[in-house]
Amino acid sequence: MIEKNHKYKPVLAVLLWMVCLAPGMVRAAMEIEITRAGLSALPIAIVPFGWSGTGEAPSDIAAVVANDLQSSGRFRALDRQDLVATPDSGAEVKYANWRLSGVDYLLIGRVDHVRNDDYTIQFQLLDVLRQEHVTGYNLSVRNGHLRQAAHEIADIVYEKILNEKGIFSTRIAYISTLGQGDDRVYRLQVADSDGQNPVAILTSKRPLMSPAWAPDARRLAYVSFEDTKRSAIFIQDTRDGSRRKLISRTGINGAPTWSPDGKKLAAVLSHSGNPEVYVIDAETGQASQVTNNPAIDTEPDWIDKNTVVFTSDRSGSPQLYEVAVSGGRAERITFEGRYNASPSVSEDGSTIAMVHGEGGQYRIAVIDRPTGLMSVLTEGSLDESPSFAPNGGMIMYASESGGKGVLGAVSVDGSVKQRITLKEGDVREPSWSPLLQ
Amino acid sequence: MHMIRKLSTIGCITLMLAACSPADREEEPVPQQVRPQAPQRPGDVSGTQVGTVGGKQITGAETGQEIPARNALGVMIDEFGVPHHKVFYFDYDQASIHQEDLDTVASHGQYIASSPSARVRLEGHTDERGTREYNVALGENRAKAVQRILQLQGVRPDQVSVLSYGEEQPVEYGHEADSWALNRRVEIIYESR
Repeated sequence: MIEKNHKYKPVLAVLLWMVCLAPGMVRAAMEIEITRAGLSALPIAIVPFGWSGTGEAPSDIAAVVANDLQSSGRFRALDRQDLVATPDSGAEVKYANWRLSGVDYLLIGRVDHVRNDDYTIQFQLLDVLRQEHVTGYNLSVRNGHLRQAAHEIADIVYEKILNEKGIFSTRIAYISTLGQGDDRVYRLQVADSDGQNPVAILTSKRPLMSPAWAPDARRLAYVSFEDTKRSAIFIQDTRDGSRRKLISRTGINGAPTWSPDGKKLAAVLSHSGNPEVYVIDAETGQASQVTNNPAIDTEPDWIDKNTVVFTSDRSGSPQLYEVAVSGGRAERITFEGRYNASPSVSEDGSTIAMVHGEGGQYRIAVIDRPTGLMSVLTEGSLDESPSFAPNGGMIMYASESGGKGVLGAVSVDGSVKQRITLKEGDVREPSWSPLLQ
Repeated sequence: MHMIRKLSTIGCITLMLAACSPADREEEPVPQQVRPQAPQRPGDVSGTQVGTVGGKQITGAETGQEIPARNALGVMIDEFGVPHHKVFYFDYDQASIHQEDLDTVASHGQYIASSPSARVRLEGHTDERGTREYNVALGENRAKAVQRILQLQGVRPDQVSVLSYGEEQPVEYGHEADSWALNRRVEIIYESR
């Protein structure tokens, strides 16, 4: 046990190595730090990929794969200094040595420079215990897409071993702010799932809020206050940048989330005098009312095509309720704690993440719908905006660290936490994209 | 006239004290005990005691400083009759206007009702605690609490609009109680008088 501990303790060192020593591949101003590592994770050795070409390798593929797999909490990558050998082809592998290292799996590969911007990546995943080849691919990759290819390799490894979809090729959207008062700038950003390669798809001097991915992993809905008199919900295409205003009524226009088929959005409007949940047609903007209660009803998310979960303070403090989108009686589903809000539903509808406030601390918790059991996953004091990964295995959320807004990710069992700090400004309100189609 | 002069002298002394000794001013007992988090801010003149002067604008002869006038409710107003105070603070997760702010809010209502061209926007804000969209709703409830009092004074619906920013536009960026108290607010913005 002690020896095992030793093997994954220097996770942070590996990641810092990745960030500091490979400046060519890190274009983003984000820093990733794993704050807690998984205990019941599968041990895997990920050997630095071989490189044939002039100069340094353009990207450390193995480091990206290792970071992805470890962030899930399901894998524990052997420290580089503990690698017994650095083979880059299956023929060189001596299984007995890897078995002694205590790893179950071995990932090896190489990158070849073909010409100009063209590269090939070959990799093989090997089962150390069975001493056999599990899978392997040859990928043709253009420069600038090498990190993306690394995320795809991580997805393949994850799915082959665990028989579940990997989510490392997905993206996240979030809001960042820079400056204070009149100098404040709000940005709607889209980045890789590990926070790298952020691109601002909208910049505004006025608040932007509540980004939400459509099921096509291409369109984003969000709230903008760019009109000084009235908020609005917009839908923007992240590929071509085009956008349109979906709705902007008197009062609140907020908290949009997409129906599973992408044809409707649940959102909050208060033009009738009170915040209520509505379902809005994504094309026509036509709205039909779901809730009807004098309390605050807000933050809807879809459990399935017929049901939403939302926050309401109708009992005196914010709690989560479920209701059919056709209307009717709402059922309360949270009973622990005074403050349960901002639900995010896992893809299969079985688990709901939320902000759980207790004793002045706001943390991310999950509730298992079949049993109603709640568990608190994070330890911050101002954690908010949970967003499920599309495979239901991780939750991204916003947190505060050193007076700054940062993003965190936590595995759904709470075993692995990852922090993503933007060097400049505050980040918040992450939304995890569906799987790319 | 004699009475007014006397009051204005007291007012001047208070103002001078306030100007000379900011540290003392911070330690001044808050006049109404129910207002623990009504904070002293630069430009916030609520702590200055000048007495009622019957809605007239009085100038302190000794210093040339302007003494804020007060209306019949004892609320400080400018030369047009618009109350000085345009920002009102709230308790955590509450949308009830503090008792001591009711006269000031009502005075805004009286002014707006008496001025057909007046248009105001009520901007509701919260502190950073709690979730963002819930806070948008909470900020709206605060702004609507102000709106109701304005309408009780006869303000027409088309003279008032409400916009809630929730926690998105803080005035203070700290993550502690003093900053939170200043951020839980409704601002009355005069678009026209």
